[in-house]
Amino acid sequence: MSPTALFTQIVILATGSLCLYIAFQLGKRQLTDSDDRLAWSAFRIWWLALGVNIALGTVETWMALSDINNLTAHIILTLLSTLVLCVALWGLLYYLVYLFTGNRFWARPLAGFYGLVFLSLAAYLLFVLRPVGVIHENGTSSLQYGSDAPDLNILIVALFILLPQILAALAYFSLFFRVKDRVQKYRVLLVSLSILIWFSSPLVAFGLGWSELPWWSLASRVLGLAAVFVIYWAYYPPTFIQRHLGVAGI
Amino acid sequence: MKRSPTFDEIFEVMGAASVGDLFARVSLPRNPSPETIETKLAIALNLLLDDLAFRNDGLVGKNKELEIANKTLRDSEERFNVVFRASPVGLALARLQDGRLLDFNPVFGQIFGLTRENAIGKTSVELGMMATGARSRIVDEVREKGSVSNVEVTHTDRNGEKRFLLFSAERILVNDDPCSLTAVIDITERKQVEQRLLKANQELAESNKELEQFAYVASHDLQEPLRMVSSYMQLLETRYKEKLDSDAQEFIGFAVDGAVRMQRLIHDLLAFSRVGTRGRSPQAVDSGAALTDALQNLKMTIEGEKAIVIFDDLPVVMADKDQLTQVFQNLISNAIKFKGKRRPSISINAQISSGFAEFKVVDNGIGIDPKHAERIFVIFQRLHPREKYEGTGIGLAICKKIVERHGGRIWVESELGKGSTFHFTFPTAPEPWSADAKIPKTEGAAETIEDRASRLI
Repeated sequence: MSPTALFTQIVILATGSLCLYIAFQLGKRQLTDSDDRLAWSAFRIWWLALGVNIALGTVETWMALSDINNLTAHIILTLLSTLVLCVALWGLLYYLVYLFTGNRFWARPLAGFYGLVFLSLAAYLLFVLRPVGVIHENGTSSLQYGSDAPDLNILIVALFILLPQILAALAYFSLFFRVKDRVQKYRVLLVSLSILIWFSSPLVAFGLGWSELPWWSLASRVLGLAAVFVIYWAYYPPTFIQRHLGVAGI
Repeated sequence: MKRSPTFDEIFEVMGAASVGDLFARVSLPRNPSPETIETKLAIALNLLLDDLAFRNDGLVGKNKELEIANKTLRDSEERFNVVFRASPVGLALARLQDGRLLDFNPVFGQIFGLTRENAIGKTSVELGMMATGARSRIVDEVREKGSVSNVEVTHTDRNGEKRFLLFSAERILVNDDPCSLTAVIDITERKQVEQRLLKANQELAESNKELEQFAYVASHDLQEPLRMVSSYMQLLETRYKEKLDSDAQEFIGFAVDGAVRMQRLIHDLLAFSRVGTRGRSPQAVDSGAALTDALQNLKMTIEGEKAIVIFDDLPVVMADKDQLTQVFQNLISNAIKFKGKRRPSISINAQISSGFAEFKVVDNGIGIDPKHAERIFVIFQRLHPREKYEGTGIGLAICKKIVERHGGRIWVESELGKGSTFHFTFPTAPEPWSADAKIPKTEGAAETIEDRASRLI
């Protein structure tokens, strides 16, 4: 494994661990209202699923490095990873929708929506693209398809996964102007901007043609880690931030 | 032997016979002799006299009956007159045809400022007693239905003051003439008291709402500066602890402790005000499930104190489930906190009567002096020093507010050293239990995004 690939893996692992740690820490908040609890759990699910998703990515890398070519295992891993991503995105979107509407009704329609997105992606992968083999390259593995059908995954991910999150993050950012509490302002700013930068960066990179450049892979991972770090600081600010901004942790 | 009729008797009989009232038939032979005629006539006269005597007896009886009836009528009339004159209700008799007053009692005169001399024979409109429309309404109804009852009418008296009157009337016949007997009660004072009460109630409701809103806003807005004070004090404590002498460290300790306590107070105050503002519509809720949630929330405390909690099957009640859970949680955590020397043991059961489920939470704790039975439900009231039992003294006040919001009540039976039994009631759910079984939502300030943000950001 090249030093860059190793460093990339370390960054990914750090990001995943931090996500799981945030999910664990957020669980300490006590809420008496059942609707609030559901929304807060959805937010925790987002962090937990992100962590799990990154862990699945690590398994995939390990399989690539170990030269394991089992197609079924790779397909299952890809599907599992997509499912976990859909669950994560449901969690974040429901949390934000509840924050704005105060209505738990949206939990099911959103779950249905992301369930449908997952099934569509799975069906497209299995029946249209038809994976036939595994390619190992630079410590990562990808599926080889038996069809010339366009890989619509990027479009679907952009439309149904990234776009709603970006819109939700923008809506979340609008809370900055509504809340009065300094701590809330601080958290809204950090969380919304981090999510915005994190999720819009693949689109920007795609637009600018950076996606295929070798440095982007590492840069996007570092950006992800930084975003998670910033979000962690939003809830558990370091002492110097506490001192300068007068904000407190959970 | 029959006597011969006297001359007067013959004339009386003849007089009666002449108008056809009395008659007697006798048969005479052909060419009767004068003696025969005399004899027969005497017989006939005797028969007629007997009949007359019999009729006389009947008339005497009838006369006595009439005298009695007459007396009864006079007594009744006298009684009616006494009642009519002395009644505390205004009474008046008027002809239905033209509305002219035939009679009225002093109270009626007093209500409308009338004297018999200037009012008898005049109509209520002529006397300016009430508006034509109101009078027509009452009269029409009496004519159609035979009576009206409790019709509220406003009337401006001679001093220009508005009076509220309650009218009832019944159709009666006086000398075959249809009349109305009207009863009037002056309810002005009652109305004024009612209006004052209504106004006071509205003011009280508004004041309560404002107070609730004030408590909510105050506690909500107090959080931010307090959090800053607390953060900086804690920062000061961690960063400069070694550079300060023991006095300064002690003072900082007091300040941090005070800030933490105030944060707790504000948090509890906010929780208290949210009972009214954030309560949901009560629905059919399995109180057993609410209790299970409460026990789950208290799992660590229960296990830590090795408390025993026993409960029966609990009924379905109309409640906001989260708030019912909160009531159970507060009462059980209190039972554990104020434990005696023995291992805490708490039993919970319920019974249903008159549409309410009465829950009992029985503990074996230190108990409460009965003289404090009311005080413990007042916000921020504590019976023990803070050093001995921590807390802000708001838990039972929240329970009371939740229970009363659901139309129930809460009370305690206890003796010092003998444990306590907390009773509280919730309305039972109508069968079959359904999500449709809802009672109106408590009015309160609507929750905003900012409110949710304060809990979920």
